[in-house]
Amino acid sequence: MHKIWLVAKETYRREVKTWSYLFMILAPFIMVFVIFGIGFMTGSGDDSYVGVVTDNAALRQSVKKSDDFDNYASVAKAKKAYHNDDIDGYVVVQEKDNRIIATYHSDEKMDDDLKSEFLISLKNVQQDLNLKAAQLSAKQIQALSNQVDFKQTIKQSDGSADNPVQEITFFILIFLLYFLVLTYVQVTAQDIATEKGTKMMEVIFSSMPGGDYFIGKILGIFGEIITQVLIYALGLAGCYYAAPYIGGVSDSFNKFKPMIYQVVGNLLSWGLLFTVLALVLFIIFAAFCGALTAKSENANKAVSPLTTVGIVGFLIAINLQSAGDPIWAKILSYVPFLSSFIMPMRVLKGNATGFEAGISAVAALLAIVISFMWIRRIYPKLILQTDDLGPWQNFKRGLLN
Amino acid sequence: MLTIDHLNKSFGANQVLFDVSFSVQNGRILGLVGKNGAGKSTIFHSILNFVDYTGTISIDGKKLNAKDYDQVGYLPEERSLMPKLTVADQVSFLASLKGMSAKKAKAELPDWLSRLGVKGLPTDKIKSMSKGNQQKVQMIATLIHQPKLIILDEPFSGLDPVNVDLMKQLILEEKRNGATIIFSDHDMRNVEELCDDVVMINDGRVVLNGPVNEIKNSFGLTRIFVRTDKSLSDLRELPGVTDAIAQNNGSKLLILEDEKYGKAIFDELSAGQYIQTFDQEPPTLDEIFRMKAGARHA
Repeated sequence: MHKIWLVAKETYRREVKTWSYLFMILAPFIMVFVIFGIGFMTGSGDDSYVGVVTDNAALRQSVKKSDDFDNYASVAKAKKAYHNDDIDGYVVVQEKDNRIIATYHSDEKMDDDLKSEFLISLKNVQQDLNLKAAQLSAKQIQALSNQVDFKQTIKQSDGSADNPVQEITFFILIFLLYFLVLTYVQVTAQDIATEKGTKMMEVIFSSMPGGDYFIGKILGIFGEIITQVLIYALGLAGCYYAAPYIGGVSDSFNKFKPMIYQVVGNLLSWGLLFTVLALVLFIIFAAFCGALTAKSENANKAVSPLTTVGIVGFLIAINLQSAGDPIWAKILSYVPFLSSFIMPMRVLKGNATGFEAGISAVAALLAIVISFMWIRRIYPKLILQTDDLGPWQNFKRGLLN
Repeated sequence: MLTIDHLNKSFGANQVLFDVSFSVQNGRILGLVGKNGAGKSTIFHSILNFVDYTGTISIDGKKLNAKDYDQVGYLPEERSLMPKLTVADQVSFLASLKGMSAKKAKAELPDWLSRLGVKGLPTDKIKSMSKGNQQKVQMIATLIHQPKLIILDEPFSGLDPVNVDLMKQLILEEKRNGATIIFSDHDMRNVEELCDDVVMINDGRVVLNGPVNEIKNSFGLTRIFVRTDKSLSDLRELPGVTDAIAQNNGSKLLILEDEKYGKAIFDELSAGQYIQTFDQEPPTLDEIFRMKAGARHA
């Protein structure tokens, strides 16, 4: 057991010290910073403020509530603010013969969004003027204020994930699983093929059984995955606790807080279990594929069947999001490798019960146990088969040893 | 004592070892010789449990268990280390797999580097070292945990004569420290020089097995090195001489059917003449190897 941990530690230490691992960890953070940075840079230029000069009390009240408009007492004051670049322009609103006349003064036309927002306020004011001018009775006013009553009847069991919590959970799960599977399948195969290429495995296997070395490698690679996921979890937890104190974010955060709780709750149920099962299964087979190659540069080629399965699982899951619960999805949700992409989605959408998910998980677990025992047994033979005969011939010759 | 008893090994339908049996006494050096593909590496792989086989391999009468392998030092035929690791990290990792603490291995490493004349520091990356120095580092990784059984698969290949001598000294030093050593080599001079015992493998079968001197003597004193003015054709006419070959140092080698012809040849060549050199010896291991390897192909 001690030697297994030594191998796990060495595998972990060797990988996490590389620049590629560091970049892999930091890439999402860099991406978020870049996106926020671009948003901030471009967003800061879009902060339009428009001055409003009017005697209409209702309109002044409406402007007061807006973040984008400011009241000015006189045209002179608005003009001064405009010349000082405090505002992008100003609107002078006048009332003449029960009609609202608004004139915008600036070098450029008013931003379309601001114009739409301001026109709504103006229309309300004009509506009030119209009603006053028409001298309608209370009953007539009531009759004119009737609105269309639009109702929606949503069939709950149609299988589509139209609940935002479901949708967010769905996308987080699918992308996390896809990202981790594709990343670590390649990392595992590359690591093992590189070691095999150096031909130092004979020395290592003269010190410990090859099967134990295989376990150590898998544990080391899982250490790398756990490190990455923990760093992301800590990053997200940091954002969670920092958000209430960041101006401009705290309001949105408080608004979405219940949803965040629900999403995290959904993630920590079947989704997490199936993600772990998929990772274990994919990594065991990635080690197998890596052991089949004689050269490290062929590792990606050897692992391509696995990455294809990962991509197919991802595409099926994406398709499933809007496809209800077809029979093929029901069947594939019990097939190891693909089940981890499909079953959590079916559970999330209420199309599969916990019992069905349990059966699928047990099937995946059985696949893991059987493949692990088999690959552990043949792994040293495959690794010591260093002639470059191609994966299939290497596999056959490895079995003969 | 390492004992290999009735070892058979097949790869599918292809049998490569046939009833191989031999033993290595504790504290002795055994040379395992044979042509390429004779089965030497497969014997090593069987001892190290890399491959499935039939037969028995034991140390001091007991089958090897996982703990016993901590006492084995193995230098494979194809040498390689992890190029991105430092010398210290590489050696300490391999030593720790043999049960030696990484800390102790790192502490002893500078002394080993100095003993083997490795140009470089423990903190140097393997990839920054010359091929020869990398081979020395691998030898250090094989020996640093002070194994009781040392298996060296062609330890001198790729080394220059100076480093070959250095490695020979190291092997003899390990023997003096009590280690049992088994190594393979194509150069029979190395085997003659270092080994107490020799096992010759040909096409997966043991064709010779025993102490080097006994094996050589068992072929009789059938080689005569002589300095004489007689021509090679005249020498070939002498009784019992099957061949006469000119040597680089000016002497001539006579190959005899039997050592009993030695005295008659001496009398013939010395009659009325001064003979500078007359040396009757057994055949070299190389000659024996050629005879044995050739015999199976004849």
